[in-house]
Amino acid sequence: MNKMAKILLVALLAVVVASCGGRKKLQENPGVSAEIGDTTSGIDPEIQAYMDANGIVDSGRYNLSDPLSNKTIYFEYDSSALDPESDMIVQFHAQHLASTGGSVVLEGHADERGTREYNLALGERRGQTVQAVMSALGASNSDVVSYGEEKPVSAELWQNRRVELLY
Amino acid sequence: MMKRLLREKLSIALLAFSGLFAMPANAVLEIDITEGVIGGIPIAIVPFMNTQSAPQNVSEVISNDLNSSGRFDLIPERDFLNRPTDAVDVNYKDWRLLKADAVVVGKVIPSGSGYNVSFQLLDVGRGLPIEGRSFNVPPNLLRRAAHQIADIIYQALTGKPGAFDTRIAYVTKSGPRYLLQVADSDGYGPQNVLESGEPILSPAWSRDGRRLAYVSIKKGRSVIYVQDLASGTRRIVSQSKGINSSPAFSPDGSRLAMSLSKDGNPEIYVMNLATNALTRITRDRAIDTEPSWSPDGRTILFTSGRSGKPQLYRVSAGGGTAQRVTFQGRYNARGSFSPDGKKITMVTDQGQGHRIGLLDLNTGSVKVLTRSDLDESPSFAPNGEMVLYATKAGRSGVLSVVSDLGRVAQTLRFQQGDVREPAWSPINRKL
Repeated sequence: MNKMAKILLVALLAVVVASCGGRKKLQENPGVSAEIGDTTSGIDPEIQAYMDANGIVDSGRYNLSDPLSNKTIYFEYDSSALDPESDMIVQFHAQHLASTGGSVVLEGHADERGTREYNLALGERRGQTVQAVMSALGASNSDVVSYGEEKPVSAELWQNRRVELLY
Repeated sequence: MMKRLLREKLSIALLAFSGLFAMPANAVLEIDITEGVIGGIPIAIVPFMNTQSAPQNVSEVISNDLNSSGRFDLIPERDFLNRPTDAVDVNYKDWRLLKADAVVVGKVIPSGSGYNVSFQLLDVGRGLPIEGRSFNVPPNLLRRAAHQIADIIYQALTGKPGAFDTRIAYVTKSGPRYLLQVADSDGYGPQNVLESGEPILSPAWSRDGRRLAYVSIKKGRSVIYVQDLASGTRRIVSQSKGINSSPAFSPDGSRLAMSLSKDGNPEIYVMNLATNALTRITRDRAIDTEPSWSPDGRTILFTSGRSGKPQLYRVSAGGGTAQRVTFQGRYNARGSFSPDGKKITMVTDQGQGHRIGLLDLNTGSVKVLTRSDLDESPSFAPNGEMVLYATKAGRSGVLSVVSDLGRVAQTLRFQQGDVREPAWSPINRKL
């Protein structure tokens, strides 16, 4: 993504976040989780516009009707790079955290393939990738930890290659 | 071939069954020989004259040890024409008929508060004894005596030391409970080193077998500990910001190599354990981890993602320019040198999943020793002729031993949960 596109994205995201006042409020009251997802069904129009503009196709991994409800970011095998869709989700969280000044722990994980030590490092690297996006958007109060492959959540390998946003 | 494979499975099943009654909690439940032996030394282990009260069947332990090494072809007991327990009663002609190269006979008799264990190893071709020895041991060391006898037989017939009277360290997980344990090389007699509700990884032995270094993760923070096995006392050697992982003792035990990401990126460091002074060995933007020392202590082997995929590199233990070691396969990691420094065992992916590989440093050739796709944590036996590693049986982790020739794979199953992260102690014990 070139610099111009990035600036445009940030501007667009700002609009998106601002237009989602209702959801934003819900996030400040995490106890009212039942309301998450009630606001819209299907992909948010602004998000759809951003996805169209960037050639992003819904992979099915994220709930695109409510970006901030996605507290887990997924990765490809042996990779710590964010694909465009995951990058978009991280940017929503970054915008949100930058606006609230909240802190986040980025907990990196890997799937069971490969050695445990390398995966411990890979989990950290995934967390650092998310951290870099967050910092670039002004959410600088973050901390990276890694469990490597030690805490799988699913028999599906892709669900274990993840960074959990703990906030 | 099929017949031979079948008879081995049968005899091992019987061994496992008869051993059940004396088995301590959490010990090996089952030993599977998953590969047949081709071209092993034909040997007959005659059941020892055994005292009823003896807590271990010594000749069974010896048979199992030799079988697991992949270097022997055990002649099945049911083919024996007779069962002598002393060399004077051995009729060599009978054993020539069975094509045995060697015969082992022996006795276990009460002696004081313990037992006297004696054996003789006989050369069938020449009709002469090769080795013989006698041990006086307390009941709790009978198994050790059997392993020592297997070591003596191994050395006499192969010219290389055996590795049966050795120990292994590993981690078990059942539910949320992690246990770091040390047991005999065949999984018997496990002792707890550490119990934790958080992950334990990367146990590594000091060369003298007295200390273990390992990593414990608490709330996502990895910490490296060194623990003295006799006293149980442990100390934190590294808990800096970021990852603290992959400890490896230098051969002289004075230094610990490790991977730390305190400067933002995992790099190899060497710590002087007397002063805690750190020397940075690598400097690269990629992941550098899993250091391992050459037997002479001059070189450190490590895994690096600097080429885009994990591969093995070597660097002087004082630092300097790293040289790539592995070129074959898209994933080569967690390498460690054989005790003679001529081979490296590693996790390798040659397109069929993660398996255990053996790299010959002279020829550069890679031999894949295993056939599953989630094999990891390989470590050489102290004699360099067997490799212990972790694999999966269904969803559960098990430990396996494979001979460096790839002939025999022996699986050690444990009663409790998942077993992983094995490390073979680098030293043989003494009785």
